[in-house]
Amino acid sequence: MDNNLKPVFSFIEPLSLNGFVSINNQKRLEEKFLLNRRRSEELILSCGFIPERYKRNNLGVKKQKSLFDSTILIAGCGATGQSVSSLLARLGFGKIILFDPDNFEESNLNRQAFSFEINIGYNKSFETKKYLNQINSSLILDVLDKTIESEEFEEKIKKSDLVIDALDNFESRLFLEKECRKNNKILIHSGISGWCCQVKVIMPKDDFLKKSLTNRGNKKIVESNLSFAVNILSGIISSLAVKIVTDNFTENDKKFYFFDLENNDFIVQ
Amino acid sequence: MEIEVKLFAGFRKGRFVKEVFKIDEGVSVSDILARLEINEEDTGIIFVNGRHAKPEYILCDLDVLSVFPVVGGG
Repeated sequence: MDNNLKPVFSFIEPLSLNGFVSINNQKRLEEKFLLNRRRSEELILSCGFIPERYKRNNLGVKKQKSLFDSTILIAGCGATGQSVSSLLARLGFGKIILFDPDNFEESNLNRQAFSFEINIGYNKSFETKKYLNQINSSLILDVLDKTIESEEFEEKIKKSDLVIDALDNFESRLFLEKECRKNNKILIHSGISGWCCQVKVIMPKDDFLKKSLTNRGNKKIVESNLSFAVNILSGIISSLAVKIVTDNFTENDKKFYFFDLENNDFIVQ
Repeated sequence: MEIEVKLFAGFRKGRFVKEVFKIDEGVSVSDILARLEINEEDTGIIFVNGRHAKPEYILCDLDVLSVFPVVGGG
């Protein structure tokens, strides 16, 4: 163990219970060493303990620390972006970058996790940040009320360890895939329509979306998005994100997932 | 030649889930979609034997064609 950690370890060790540190004891640590929440979480994990809030993750210190050290870029902060970011915040991912210029509309209330009657008209990314901070105060959120085609994107994608496609149009998806290829980033593609959703991990050299979308024209899809499909989709995306960041990702996880909840059809191929 | 066609989600309505087709040589994915009155623009992922296929792909004996609808987001 790093010598600098020894005083912290000595302070935490008697306060921990079966390797876990409660939030009250984490606060004591913060007071003793004048730390913010993020730094205290980092030190607890570095000393081989786990904040109690992650007890039910049951991932172990090493994997929990991998989540803490990772940066996830989520392109789009609609239903999928909000649900995924909420799951990642609860899991203990350390940093999330969000891009979305849109404001909440009344038609978002049926499915979007942070859409409330009182915030109609407010920017989705900024509202999401507000609620994510309440879920996990050690999370760093870098939020932009802009599209991924904005000039800030290049700098942000370079800093990310993993990119998630939570977009709603083909042109931006193709742009995102191209950027991931250029910057050597893994992309988790997702899509939803009515009762159906699909997910595919796209490795940095792949062009899955280019192959599958470029011959389809630009036909506007009839917009139908059901809340339960969003949540299934978000669960799969988040599980893949954990596997990728903790090095538990296998060939099997590269398959194409398509779930049709209306017909109870769950395809993985 | 025989191929198997699998349709997903809304494409099944008024059609089928899975069906074997007898086809002549030189028949493309596009030809099958036209025969099923499926608009190419409504298709999302098209797989033949689990791999991407373009509409102009010429089908071979025992190919399995899977047609998924286009999905959006948000």
